[in-house]
Amino acid sequence: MTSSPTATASAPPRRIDALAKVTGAATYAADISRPGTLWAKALRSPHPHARIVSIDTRRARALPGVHAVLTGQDLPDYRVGRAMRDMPVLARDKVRFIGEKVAAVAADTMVIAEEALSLIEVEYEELPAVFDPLEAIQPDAPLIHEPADVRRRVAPKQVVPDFPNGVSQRIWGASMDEVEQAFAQADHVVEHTFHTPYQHQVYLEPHACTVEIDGQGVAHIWASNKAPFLLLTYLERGIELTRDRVQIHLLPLGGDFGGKGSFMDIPLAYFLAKATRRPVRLLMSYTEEMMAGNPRHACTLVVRSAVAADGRITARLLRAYFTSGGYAAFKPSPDAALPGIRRGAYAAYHIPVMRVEANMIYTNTVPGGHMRSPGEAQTSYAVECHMELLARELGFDPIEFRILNAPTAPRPTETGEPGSPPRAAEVLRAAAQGVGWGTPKSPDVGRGIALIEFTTSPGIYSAGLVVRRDGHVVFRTPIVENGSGSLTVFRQIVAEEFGISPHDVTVEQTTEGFDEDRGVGGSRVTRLEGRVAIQLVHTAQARLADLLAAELGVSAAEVRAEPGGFRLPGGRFTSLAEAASLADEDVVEILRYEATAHDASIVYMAEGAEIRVDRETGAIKLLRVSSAHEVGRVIDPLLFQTQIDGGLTQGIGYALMEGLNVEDGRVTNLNLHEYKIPTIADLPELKTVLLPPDLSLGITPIGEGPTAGITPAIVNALVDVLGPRPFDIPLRPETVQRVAAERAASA
Amino acid sequence: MNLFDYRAVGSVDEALSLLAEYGDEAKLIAGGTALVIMMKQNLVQPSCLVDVRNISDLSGIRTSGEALSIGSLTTHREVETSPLVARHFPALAYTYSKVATIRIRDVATVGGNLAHGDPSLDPPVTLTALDARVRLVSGEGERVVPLDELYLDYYETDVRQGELLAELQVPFMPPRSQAAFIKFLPRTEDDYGTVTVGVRLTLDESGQRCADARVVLGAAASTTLRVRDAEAVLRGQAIGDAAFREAGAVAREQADPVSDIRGSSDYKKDMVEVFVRRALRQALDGFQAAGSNGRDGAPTA
Repeated sequence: MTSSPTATASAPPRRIDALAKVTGAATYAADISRPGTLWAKALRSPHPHARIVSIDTRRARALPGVHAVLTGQDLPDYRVGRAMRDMPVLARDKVRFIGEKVAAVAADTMVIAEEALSLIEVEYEELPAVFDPLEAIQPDAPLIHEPADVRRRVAPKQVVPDFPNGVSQRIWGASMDEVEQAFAQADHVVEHTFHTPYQHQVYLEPHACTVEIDGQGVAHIWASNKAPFLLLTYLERGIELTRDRVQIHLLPLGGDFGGKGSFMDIPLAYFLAKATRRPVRLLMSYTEEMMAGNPRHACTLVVRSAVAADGRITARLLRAYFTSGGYAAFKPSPDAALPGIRRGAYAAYHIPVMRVEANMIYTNTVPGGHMRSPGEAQTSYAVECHMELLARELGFDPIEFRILNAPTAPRPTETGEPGSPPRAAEVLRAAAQGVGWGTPKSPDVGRGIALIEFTTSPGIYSAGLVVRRDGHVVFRTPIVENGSGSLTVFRQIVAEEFGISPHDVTVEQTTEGFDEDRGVGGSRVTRLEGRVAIQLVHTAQARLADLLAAELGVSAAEVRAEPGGFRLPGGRFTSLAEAASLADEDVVEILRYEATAHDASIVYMAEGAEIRVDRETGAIKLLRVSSAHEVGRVIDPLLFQTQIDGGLTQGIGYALMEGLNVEDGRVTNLNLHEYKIPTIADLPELKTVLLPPDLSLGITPIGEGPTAGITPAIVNALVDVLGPRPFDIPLRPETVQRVAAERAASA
Repeated sequence: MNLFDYRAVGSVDEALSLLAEYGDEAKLIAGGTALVIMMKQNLVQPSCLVDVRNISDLSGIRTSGEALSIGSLTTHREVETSPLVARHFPALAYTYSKVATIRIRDVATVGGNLAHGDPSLDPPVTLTALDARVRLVSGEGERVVPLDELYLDYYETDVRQGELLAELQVPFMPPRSQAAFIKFLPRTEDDYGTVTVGVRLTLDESGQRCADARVVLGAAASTTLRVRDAEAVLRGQAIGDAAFREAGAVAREQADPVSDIRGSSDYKKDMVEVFVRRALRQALDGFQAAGSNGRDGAPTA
């Protein structure tokens, strides 16, 4: 690479948001300070399940500097939720998890607010509690919600199962009869059970919000929230705060990883602002985040497969039991399940008889929400570990066994025609090679692999484009910068599509002029908002071509868009700026785009891991990590790479150390001393192989797949050392040491 | 966090008079890396913070007679990178390099760390193995306390009300000595140790037997724990794996770690046994390494 100092100095930062963030100038939700802002804090339940007998707030109200004290009884009987609305803003009759908000104070300072909380007296009557989803569905389990309430509050596509504490049940694929029949005829039937923990997103920025109600009754909201139009819906449906009375101010997020899509404390801040007629700020401490954020759901998964003598899988039944927590409110899917379950459970395999049962179950634990690869991280871990165990127990090569069962039928292209077949074998072999597969190693070194299919999810996306009369282009988007670099990518797409320099494109974040947008998530933003951007450029070019044609007295068909401008009849070239100057005013285009089925992009990837196990201590050292990907059009190779690296790192944490430690409903690792995530010093080089681009796939997803793949790859590497048996994550050294000792004793 | 007075002082005398004035309501603050967290969690609620970080004569590292003198306001990073420390106590430089992250080490002070009394901290382990002591000053005068007598219980030390920890003194090692420190970090580099072990091994003139030993554990009891019985096992013994194994087994029995996210108490005891043996082996290997300083305690896990 060559670069002159001058060129470097004059180049704009490659990321739109880089300078503001590294200088500290960027404003996040917690930085917002409106005149007269009050600090609010919530009193949280110390019990996992209890009836609230009484709440005495008199002493708190009497404390100087306290402006409001609210309890559930002071609020209308609202229930809020992203899809299923089952969560009160403040607990009303009972509490359903440790950390549930019971009362709230708004005061002049944080210190006064905290002191006021200590003066609130709550009398509880403890109720029997249940923490494990499989115990919660037993006939004698305590009921966390009244079944009638659950059915009354269902989201549009939610199916409530009949067993106790059922939230939702999704079933895909064959009937049980067909599955049983296939199992009965099989050469081998093998079943494994897996457990996954709650995983917190560990964004640097804890949830924060400020709500201020202006003289016209409009609630201004500054919040760490990534999907403003979804938030409008939550507020309208949850607390009857209609859209015309809300103004959301967009802010960058200090990390998202799936966790910033909820309403969190915003409804409470609204009611406190209303009660005090002052702006109110709520900022969660990290302890509150760990206790009552919206972490990845814990899950128990049972996978059973029928395998023919030649290694073909003939049938599979996957049953998942997700720990919903005390409420379902943080799940955005209209079925109140998790969007990635089906994809992760079917995984990258073609199995003739396949059935998936996904059960979401109320428990007296923290309500789960979305985290990078929601539903997929759990199911992919179980399926890919199960695949490894099947191969090893039945004597097949783990890579060839996966290739044998991978699909070969072509995927549809962006326009719906049959396209290229999945390149499962290629990504598997590339990832395996990256961790030294097949080369000599010590008996303490293990290698594992996993195959992942990833698809973008659909949604409605909006954007606007302005070509100013001086030729400068403004791309207007309601997409929130969650840290992944989306705004920079949009600038690049618009610049490339016009054939102009990124210097000549500005990205403006705004909700004005739009009425709907699904927001950040599902590895779909670059693909879908990118599609909107491309179409907007084409529309703007067509309008400018019309202008040029009218000006020159030729037909519009004779004016051709070219990089940087237009080719006119006779071969003359006109720049975009020259064309724009002909207009009487700025050219403004707005597009609302509803993605259809063939907007989904399916890609295959494989992750590989090589570890060394210290059998005496159970410590696992990660030696090599590799990740191989099918790709389509990559807009910004560096940002693309950072998605892989960040995704892998979160999956590595999930495999090796992360997880809320929940004992009788109480999270015991309530801070980042105890809840650890990998640091840069803990990572080996993260090797990436991109297969030659297949442009028929269009813009391909990258945000979530690596997270789902690397976790089972690491677990499978441990299987390589300690032999085939299921391991729960995270792989605690104590467990590894015990298994190693058992194996040494039995050898 | 509560409201408190904040007083920045420029001299030890000024600090001592504020300590006298506020009594147990005052807390000294230097780097603040531990204290501020405890204040945010309302675990300590001082009514006055006495900021000592601008006292100029309490920082720096120098030789002083038979010991290395380290001022209490010296940062972790300064100890970690000091040529003097590296020359005399490579295991100590290594120990400080393993504390938390570089951002913490740049502000956290030696004295603050030693006065904190958290048994999971790293420097007290190696320093106890090195027979280090601290000089405490107060209005009444001063006294010197060996580290192995400083720690009384969780967050409870022999630093008395009105006293300020002014200096750390690390005596030079006896001839034919090597020290080693191992921090068992199976999760992340910036974690607390699951267990930590610091040892000092002194050989007799034959070079075959142990003349003296120190065996110290961190994160394995309510205080930094010197295991005298393990030291007794080693003293006079032929040096080697058999002796190290025996010392490890004795240390295992005396350790009393708490169960937490890093492992059960039993597991941590197992790790004490493993890492006492490995640390002693590492110290012995230090004699074989080129030069008299040998290797520092690079972990094997």
